[in-house]
Amino acid sequence: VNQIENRRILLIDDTPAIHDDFRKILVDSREAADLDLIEEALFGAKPHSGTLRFELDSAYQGEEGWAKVRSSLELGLPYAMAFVDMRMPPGWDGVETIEQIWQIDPRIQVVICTAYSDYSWEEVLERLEVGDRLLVLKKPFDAIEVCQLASTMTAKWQLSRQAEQKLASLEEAVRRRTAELARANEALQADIVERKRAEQETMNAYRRIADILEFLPDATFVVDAQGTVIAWNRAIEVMTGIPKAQMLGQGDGAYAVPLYGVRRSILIDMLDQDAEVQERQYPDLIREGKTLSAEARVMLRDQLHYLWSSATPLYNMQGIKVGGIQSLRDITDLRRFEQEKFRLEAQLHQAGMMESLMVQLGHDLKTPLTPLFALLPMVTKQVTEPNLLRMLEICQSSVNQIQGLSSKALELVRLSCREAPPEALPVQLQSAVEGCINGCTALFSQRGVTCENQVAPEIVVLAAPSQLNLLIDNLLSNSARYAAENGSVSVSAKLDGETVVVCVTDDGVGLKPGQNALIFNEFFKADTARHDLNTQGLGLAICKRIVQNHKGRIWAQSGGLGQGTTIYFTLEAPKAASDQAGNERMQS
Amino acid sequence: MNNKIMVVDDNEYVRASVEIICQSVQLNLTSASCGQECLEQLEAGFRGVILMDIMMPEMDGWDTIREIVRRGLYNGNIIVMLTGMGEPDAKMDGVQEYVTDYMTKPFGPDQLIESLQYYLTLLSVVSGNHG
Repeated sequence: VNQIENRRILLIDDTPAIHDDFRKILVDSREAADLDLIEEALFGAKPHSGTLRFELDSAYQGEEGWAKVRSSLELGLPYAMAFVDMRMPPGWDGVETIEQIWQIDPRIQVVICTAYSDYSWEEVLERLEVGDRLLVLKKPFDAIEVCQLASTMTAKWQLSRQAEQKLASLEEAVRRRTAELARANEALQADIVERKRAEQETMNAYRRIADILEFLPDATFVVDAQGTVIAWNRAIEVMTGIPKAQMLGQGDGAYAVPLYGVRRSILIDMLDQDAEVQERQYPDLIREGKTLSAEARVMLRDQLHYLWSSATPLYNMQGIKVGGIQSLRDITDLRRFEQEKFRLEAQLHQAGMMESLMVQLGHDLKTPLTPLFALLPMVTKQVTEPNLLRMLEICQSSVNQIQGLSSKALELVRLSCREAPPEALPVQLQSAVEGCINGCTALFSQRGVTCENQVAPEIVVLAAPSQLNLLIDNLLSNSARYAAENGSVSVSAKLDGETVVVCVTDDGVGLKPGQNALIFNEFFKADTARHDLNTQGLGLAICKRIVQNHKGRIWAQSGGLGQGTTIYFTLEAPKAASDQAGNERMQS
Repeated sequence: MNNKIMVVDDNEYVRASVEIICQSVQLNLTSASCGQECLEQLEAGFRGVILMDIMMPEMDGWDTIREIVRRGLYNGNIIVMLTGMGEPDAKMDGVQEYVTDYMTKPFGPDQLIESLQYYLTLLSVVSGNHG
């Protein structure tokens, strides 16, 4: 209140005596004491200490008064009130002055002093926006009246200021509150935007996860806490033939129907079970953390399928189980391949065993054959009785047959071994054939068969020398046996590109139609009736194996029974660039 | 000791057959049923042609040769391996050089006699003794 205390009064009157009177009433200390009492009596307030009760300024014309009001405002010491005379010639009259003053200081309280009415009151009111700022003091006035007006109007100015300030502070409070609300509102708006964004993010993330699930290569479905299917992806649609629309929202083990034909508990239902129950249904169950995996055999579209399943519980952020996910991978092909692999491995193992058995047998036969081979001729020498000699001859022949069989069988097994074949070298074919013909001389001469080597000296083949000799030996001894009595056998060869085609021809028994391929089979004999005790039926099988080892071909041609037989085989010729080097290393 | 031929084979009939054939042509022969017996006879002073079976239980032909060489009993002998078939054998590495020849089982009497006579000739050249 103090800071707005204002007891400054401006008196605007053209009569100097009036100014003296007012000064006496409002300022003079002697009279002031009396007035203090009056004021106290009137307002019940303690009068101000000190002698100066009002500050009184004087102006003698309206314009002067207006100027003082203006300078008081500029100084920040405005007047609380003004006493304004109605008539102040020659300048503005009272109404004009008040009008002007209020334009620059609308707060100032005004008492208009008049002896008679220059204007009607209505006129005054009409000219001035009076409000409650204007009182009328009728002349002649007494001291008390002036004093009362001064006190009342200054007090009123102060109250107005206080009210104004109160209003301003209220307005400020309202403004502040409004600003706060605006800020709160802004924050709220921002919050809402953020929430919407977060919701969008969540939706996007959900969408992404749903897409990932949808296009997982493994057949996959998801159930909620109640076991209701909430996802059924494309792969499981394909696997089971049950579309998503038919399965989503289904509960009570409906997902088992496409797999097992009935509602039953499957791996995903085992997640909450104890180990005993789990293992009763899935004896080969594998646990990894909370994930269960097992193999199942199911019928899909009437076909047995092997599925590898994995089921995992799903939890929310609070760690509460909200469902489960199970994926199924069709491993039927894998199982079939494994079974096939197992079967082949067993076969291979068996073949290996048979091979070692053959080797062992062939080998072990040699020992018991040795005494027979050694002693039968000794006995034969000492026998002269024809029947006994015939018997011994049969024994000797049988022993020879066993010996031949075991040797050839061993050879065949050795040639069929999965080991790498011996290194192929350039061999001059003509001399190789010549060597073999010489080795078979006895066999040829037995039946009066002649053998002609027609191979040109420039022909070179790539072959393992020992196998090549065995090949030609076998073919020649075969021809020697099957050539006509006193017939002829010939060996010829021609170069065809990088291949040498060799043919061994006889003029003997020939082959029945359909036998051309069979003769290369093990233990095949062209003429079963002949019971040739000196052959084993393995010779051509060995030849075939050797040619195959050299990546060549072997085949037979015959004009029919009695028309002779030609056996052809191919071997590689050395590459032209290496001919020179090949010739230097040539072997026969 | 006038024995010039020893057959080492775990099979009694093989040993007997070789003996019978040798007797028929008056060749003296001693026999051993295992590598150990062979070594004992060499320790006792035998020098000559040794027909050695490869496949024998406990100590096979190759092990026996190794032991002969290790004991310094090799000189003055010719070793001929009796084999089912000349298939390569990892165990022969390093002792092959002590083998003069291979004879494939089975063999007939004429082949055996012919071979033995050849080896005996070879032995006399090697030992410088024509007796």
